[in-house]
Amino acid sequence: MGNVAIIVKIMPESPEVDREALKAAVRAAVPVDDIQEEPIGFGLVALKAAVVVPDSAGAPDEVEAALQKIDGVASAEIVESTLV
Amino acid sequence: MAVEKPHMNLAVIGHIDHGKSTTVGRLLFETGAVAPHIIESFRKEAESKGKGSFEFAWVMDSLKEERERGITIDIAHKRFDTDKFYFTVVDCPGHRDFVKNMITGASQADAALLVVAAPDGVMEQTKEHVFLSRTLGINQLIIGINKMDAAKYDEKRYNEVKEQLSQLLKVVGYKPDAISFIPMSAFVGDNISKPSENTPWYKGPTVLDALNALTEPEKPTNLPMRLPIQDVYSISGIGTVPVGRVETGIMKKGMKVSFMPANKEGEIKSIEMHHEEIPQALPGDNVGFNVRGIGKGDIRRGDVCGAADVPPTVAEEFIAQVVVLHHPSALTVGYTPVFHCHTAQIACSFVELMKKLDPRTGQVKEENPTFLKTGDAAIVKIRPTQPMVIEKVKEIPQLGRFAVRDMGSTIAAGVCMDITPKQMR
Ligand SMILES: Nc1nc2c(ncn2[C@@H]2O[C@H](COP(=O)(O)OP(=O)(O)OP(=O)(O)O)[C@@H](O)[C@H]2O)c(=O)[nH]1
Ligand SMILES: [Mg+2]
Repeated sequence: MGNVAIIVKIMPESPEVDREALKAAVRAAVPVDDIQEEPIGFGLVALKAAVVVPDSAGAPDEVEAALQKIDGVASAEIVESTLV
Repeated sequence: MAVEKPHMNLAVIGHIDHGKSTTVGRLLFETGAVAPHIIESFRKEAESKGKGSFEFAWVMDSLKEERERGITIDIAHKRFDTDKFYFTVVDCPGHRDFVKNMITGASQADAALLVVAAPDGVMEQTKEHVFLSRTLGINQLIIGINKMDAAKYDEKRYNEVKEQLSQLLKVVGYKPDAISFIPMSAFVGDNISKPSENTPWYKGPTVLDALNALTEPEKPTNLPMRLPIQDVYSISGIGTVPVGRVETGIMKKGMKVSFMPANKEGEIKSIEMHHEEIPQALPGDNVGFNVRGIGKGDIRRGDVCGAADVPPTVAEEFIAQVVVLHHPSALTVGYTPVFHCHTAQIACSFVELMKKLDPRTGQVKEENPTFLKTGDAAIVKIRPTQPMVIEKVKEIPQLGRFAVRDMGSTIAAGVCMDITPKQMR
């Protein structure tokens, strides 16, 4: 069984959400390898986090659920996945 | 200045252990995507350990370790170049729980390389992946009949596997005559970048030839505009700002739009991407846009923004082709799991099991079956329990696919064939 690199797109609840604090919360919630910012518009900036999970049942859901629970997160959604 | 080559997303699919990862490694290696100094260091290490020959497998193993030590967003994707394209490879996760993300995710594969081990032939996951590629709308397929070295480079075995695969491909609507079946060995390197002496009976293209012969997919700009809503914001001093990715068509400033199933209309006042105002947004663009005439509470995630003159279709009922990936017992009429379609998640009922299809012949195996089980493909009628936007896969493929989930696990995947629309006006 291999490991899968997933990329999760995280949207803040508003442009006012403290981005550095959000990044720290994301890192605390899941084993993140890399976080990048993707500016959208109107002050909104999406975070894209790369996370490595096992290629097994429930793994992608657990990551999305853990991130959705964070204060200040509007949505967290896996946009890409590939075996590493 | 070199012009950037067109980009292709390549999905590598196939049954467990048939050699997908080895094939990816081999492609990276043969196209020079693995830096020469890395290969050199392995060659030296092999020599110092008294190994006479350089072992390709070592390179792959160590690269794997390297990747697992620290993945970054940029190298999560493996990239290699051929004469015509640059490819990013998606080595598809094996577990079906990742299927939802492939259906609703951002990077749709433009082509798939299906790896089938010659000694085994078509296996369960081969079948599943062929159905899934079709469901995912991957129209270009290359087939690598792998591990030919372990099948004595036998032409007869190659033809047997090719025949098995052709039957399977016909069922889901691929045309086997238009597809390359390449006898190869990812391990030895046969027919990857140059014709192999081990298969003198094979006159077709190598894997790299077949990759170069793919056609660049067109952006679906000619289809009606569709943008499934991810999130909705109320920004002070600006107003309502929905955020999402344009799937089809072109979103333009000043355009009249319709949100369904919310059944609200508005006008696009401005569009922003990368924090810059843009006059129009194209398929694949992640944008925020400000709409006049819409309040934050009027629309929500799962609604679809479309051109007002061709509004998104809300389904009363729809007919779908599904493949059951996993069901603990039997799926029957009345079953109501959650359908994940674009950004919508809506409970939908199976109201009729119309036909069960035989994967071997493509024929209808059973009319009105009483149940479906894991591995079955079928035509079914579905009724959403709440208003839901879905489109016929033939008309707007990007909004015609869905994954079916229940109790945290993936049950099925499918495409929408026909719709009984709900009258919204
Ligand atoms: N003889 C032979 N063995 C091969 C060839 N390609 C791969 N293998 C072997 O088959 C096994 C599986 O190869 P992988 O590349 O890991 O297969 P996979 O499809 O990625 O497997 P999963 O990721 O577990 O589904 C390994 O032991 C490889 O060395 C080939 O062309 N010939
Ligand atoms: Mg593998």
